[in-house]
Amino acid sequence: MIAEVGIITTGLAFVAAVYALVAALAGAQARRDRWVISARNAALTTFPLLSVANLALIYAMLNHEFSIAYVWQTSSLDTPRFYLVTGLWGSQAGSLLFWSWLMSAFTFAALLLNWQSERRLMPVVIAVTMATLGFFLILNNFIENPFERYWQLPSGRIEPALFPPIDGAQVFHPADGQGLNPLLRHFGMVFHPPMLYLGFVGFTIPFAFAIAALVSGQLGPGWLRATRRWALVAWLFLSLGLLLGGRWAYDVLGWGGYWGWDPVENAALLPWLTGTAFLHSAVVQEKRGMLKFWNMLLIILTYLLVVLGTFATRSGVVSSVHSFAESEIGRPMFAFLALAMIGSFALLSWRQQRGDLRGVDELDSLVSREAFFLLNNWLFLGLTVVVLWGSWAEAITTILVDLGLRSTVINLGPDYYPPVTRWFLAGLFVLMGIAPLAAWRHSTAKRLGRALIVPVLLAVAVMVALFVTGTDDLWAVGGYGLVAFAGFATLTEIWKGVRARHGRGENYWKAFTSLVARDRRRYGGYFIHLGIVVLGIGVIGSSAFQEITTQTLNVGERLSLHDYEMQYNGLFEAQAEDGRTMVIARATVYKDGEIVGHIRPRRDIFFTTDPMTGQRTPSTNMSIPGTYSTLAADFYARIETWEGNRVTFRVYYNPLISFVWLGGVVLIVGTLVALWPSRQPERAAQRATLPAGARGIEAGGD
Amino acid sequence: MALRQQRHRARRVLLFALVWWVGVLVLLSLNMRPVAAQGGEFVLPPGVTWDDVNKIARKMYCDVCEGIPLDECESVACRQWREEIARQLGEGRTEDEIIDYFVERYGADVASVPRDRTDRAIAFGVPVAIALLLALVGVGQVRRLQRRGQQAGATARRSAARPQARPVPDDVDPALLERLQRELEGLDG
Repeated sequence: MIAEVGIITTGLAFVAAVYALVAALAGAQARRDRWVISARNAALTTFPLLSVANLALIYAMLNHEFSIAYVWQTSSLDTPRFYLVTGLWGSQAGSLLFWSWLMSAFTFAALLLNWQSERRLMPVVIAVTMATLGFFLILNNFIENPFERYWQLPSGRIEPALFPPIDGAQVFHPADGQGLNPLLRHFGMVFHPPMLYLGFVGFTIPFAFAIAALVSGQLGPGWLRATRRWALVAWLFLSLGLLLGGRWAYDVLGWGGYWGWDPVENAALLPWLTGTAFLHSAVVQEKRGMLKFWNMLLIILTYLLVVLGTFATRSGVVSSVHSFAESEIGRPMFAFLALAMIGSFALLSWRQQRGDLRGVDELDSLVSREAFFLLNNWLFLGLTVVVLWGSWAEAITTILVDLGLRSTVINLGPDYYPPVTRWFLAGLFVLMGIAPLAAWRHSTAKRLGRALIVPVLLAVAVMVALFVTGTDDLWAVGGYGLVAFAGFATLTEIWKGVRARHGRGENYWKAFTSLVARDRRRYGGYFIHLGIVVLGIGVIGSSAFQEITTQTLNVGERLSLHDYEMQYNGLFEAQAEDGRTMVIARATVYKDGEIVGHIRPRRDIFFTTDPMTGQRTPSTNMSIPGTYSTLAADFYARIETWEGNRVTFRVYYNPLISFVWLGGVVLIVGTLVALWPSRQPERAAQRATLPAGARGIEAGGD
Repeated sequence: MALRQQRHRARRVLLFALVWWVGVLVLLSLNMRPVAAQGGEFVLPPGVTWDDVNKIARKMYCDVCEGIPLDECESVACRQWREEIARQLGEGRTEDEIIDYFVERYGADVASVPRDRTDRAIAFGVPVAIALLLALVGVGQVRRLQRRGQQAGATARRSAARPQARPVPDDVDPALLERLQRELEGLDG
């Protein structure tokens, strides 16, 4: 019964999406408002319908309806209830349904929030969002349906299908399921995929507004106003998804790191890069009316990279530990990507040819904030392209080999990225320091130099201090110099504002909070910069100064790494409630001869049960590291192999890695500050009454 | 003679029984260990450490696992590859020789970056070419915008001269003038 509920609601959602798409376009063409309203109502209906479909699948998981193939594949009787819910996105079909639900939720919110303010853009916004949702529902209904059941044919054969394959087929109820992929049984995986999906899906809304503006010719500030906040929301979720993914990799994959330049990791990073570029250039269009074409291009690229990332993750075309199993959705997804690319670029090029995208495209000076923002955009775009090439070189050269145009495949691993990305990152950190200090339209080099002198001196002091204290890695010293420069420049800018307000009689805390409250977007942006700076400290430290050793120890023996020692105390086996066997090593961590902590790296061995024979066989062997963590460094150990009580440990000394997570938190807080609605009317009134001298503090915007 | 043969047979039976029971005891003792064995332990060649092995493994992938560097991969196949690296290090082979051995045997995508010079040039040349192309387009865009800015500046200067020629009429509301002035200042800010 529950499967039928899911099948019907998913099918109805597809019908509603197609109807909304057709009615919206027909309504816009024929100028029939009622049709457009009807389209909106149909689009809104997809959300409750897909909510029911998702709840139906969760209900089936919680009640162990193993006759549903998806439930059998992703859960078992001993799966904890918590993971029965998160199993919703544990495999291809369910995660697609979840994706569709998020898409419908975003559309629901966008239609309700922007219906009045952007009424003229709405028909095309409905059409674009429903085209995207409709496509995913095609996949859900016809290729990867999570409500397929097992049917026992009269011959005794069992096969999965939506409906009885032949007369006399009976629903088959396996006694137990396979269980959730062990790698997904981690707290990070509970939030990481939904956050990434929210980020991916979220960028559909700005894209929809951009396409609506291009189609309707409403190319004024309206679409950008509607888009900016949605883009920031999507960017927030994508950032969260990337950070949680990094934490999951650190805790579960046992690589000792958080970022492996894996093609699927890169797939999520790419739209984040172009999305970040867009968030900067959108400010330039708002402040100066420049870069209309450029902003359209960036938001289209971001959407296309979202679809490309989804294609990469779900088609099996790139090799990755993060990707879903190879599936039949690859070809339709590629077709959708091609269609979206051709359609949106054709539209953009048509508007550009007509001259509709010409704004106030005048650059008064190279020493101006808009010039620096433009340079920042080019750096982000360059970074995007080199990461894109690194991720797709293998697929591209494989096609060339298949076509007989090349003889070898070029596969680019983690060693490719640092030398090619560091120049772009260096440039971005420099600009992060300079751009906020430059004025709009025109700054003199002298004035800018005066503003930069303190951060430059402080950055040089940091570099000298590093040298003096024995840091001999020039890349790291240079990197820290740039990071320090960006950090001090941002802090200087905030300090200037606080000091000016303090001069008017406010205490420092009040001055700081009032300053932020009065221009949340600007200061939220500064906090994001500070978050990136803190993150940069962690990234440079943990990559440049990481130390690793692999040693085999008997009970009672010790190994040394950096200024730590680890004594191995013994190995024991335990059984967890969910059926996995844990092989746990006990170890003591010493620093300077003193005990500082105890760690328990372990191996989790998961078993699968054959539903027919009931036989248990080990399926996955997962390494969970033991970590002694401080702000200065992590001592991180995992079991590589073991033989009796003799264990080979792989041990990492990860300096400053906590700063990566700390920076992530600051970045998220900054984004929330920037997203928090400002009290515009009150602000405008206050602005008008400010004395001329005080107005200087306010000028400049973001 | 027959007695000697019988004794000999008895000794053989006893020896067989002894071996059998020792075997059974060894197997039982293995079973009684606190944790089951995870495959036989590989003995590193003298003078070779796992750190030496992983330094090379870090630059490689196995041809089965999905995008996981060889030093981090925990599959049986990857472990065997690491053991092979250790064996070859023990034989005195260099890092390049070892990676080339694997590339020759399992294909070019075993290496983290291409071993072939042309392939390496393509791999790193593409981003450089892209960066140069983007820089060219960027410079072109900035120059175009700057040119327009200069033209606009000239127009603005011409416009700015006009108020002197055309004084503000007396009947314009001073509040309106003040508001316009404020808005213009806001634009500058």
